[in-house]
Amino acid sequence: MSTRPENTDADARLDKALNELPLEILPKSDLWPNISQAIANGRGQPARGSRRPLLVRLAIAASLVVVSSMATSWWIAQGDGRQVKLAGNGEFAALVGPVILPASYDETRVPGARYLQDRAELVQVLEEQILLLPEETRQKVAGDLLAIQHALQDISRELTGDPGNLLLQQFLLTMYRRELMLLDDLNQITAAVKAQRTQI
Amino acid sequence: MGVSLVAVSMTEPDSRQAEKDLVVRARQGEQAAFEMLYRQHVGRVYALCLRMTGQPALADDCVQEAFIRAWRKLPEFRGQSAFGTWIHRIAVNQVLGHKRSSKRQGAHLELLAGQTAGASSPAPETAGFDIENAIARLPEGARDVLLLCGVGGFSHEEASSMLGIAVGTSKAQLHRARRLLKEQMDVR
Repeated sequence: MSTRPENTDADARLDKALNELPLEILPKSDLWPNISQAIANGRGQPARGSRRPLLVRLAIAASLVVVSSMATSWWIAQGDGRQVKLAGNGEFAALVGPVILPASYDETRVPGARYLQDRAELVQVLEEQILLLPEETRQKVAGDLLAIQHALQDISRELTGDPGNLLLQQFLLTMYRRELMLLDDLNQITAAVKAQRTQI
Repeated sequence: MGVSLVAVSMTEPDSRQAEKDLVVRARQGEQAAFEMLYRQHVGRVYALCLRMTGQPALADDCVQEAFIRAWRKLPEFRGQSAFGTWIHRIAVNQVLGHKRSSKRQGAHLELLAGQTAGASSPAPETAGFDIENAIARLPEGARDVLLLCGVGGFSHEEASSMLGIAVGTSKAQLHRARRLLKEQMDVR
């Protein structure tokens, strides 16, 4: 602090003003119920009104693709009914597979580098974390992912013959977006399960 | 809450020991003990977050996230510093994280007028000088250091560590903040 004589009065007035500031201000509403709920749920983020309970989110994630839209349902119906258990050892990465893009695909619509990086990171994390879910849930998730893969393959095949088809291009992007949403939801849910187990 | 009143009636060493006991119980998973720690510190932590962000809703988020993180990190808290210092550090990290992710600094002046009305004592106006608004108008770096050192009572070492700056920078920013505030006082 300055001790120059000409500043003494100003410093004193400023110190007085600062000392009179209330050290404590309470939030308008009690934040503890949200904190308590988040702690109980084992989540690393505060529970806001719009956040859904863990079990509800789990159910939503597991059924995300199935209920998403009529268009998706059509593609899903083409699945071969194969059962995948996702028991580790690279099964998750193998199921999700690489991003498929037709050679003639419109470059402006290609998923960007950020998308590819996010997807790769999620797949890597989920390879282990998926094992935290019950086997029945893993099968359901595997079914959804498999359905997405079938849809992606079908759309890509169609696009190869009709590269300028904007509707098919939109389908492809939508499907990749849904896949990423599913992966992201799975990541949040399995991370929450992991945190819960750690606390126990 | 009764907890704060109990703490006030104790001597300082008693109070520190009581807080240590609460930390131990919370580390063992006792949520009620953690709630007491929350009740003891939320006022100061919220005041800091509100003044740093200028946005009550964002301050709410930062405080919530800070206490949730604190709960999760309790096993790592070894008590080298007071719980109060530790939770302030986590809260400051939350605020800085929010600032980095959202560059919405323009809204800072929507601040405090209504919010401090709910404070334990009214916002001071020394000879017509509104110190809350004057602080809100400070440049971010100067404001953060002033809030930690000039208002919160933290040392430059603590503040610089929380803000990720050098001790010298902290001192310079405090000097700058005080000079700017005095200039604003002189304008009145």
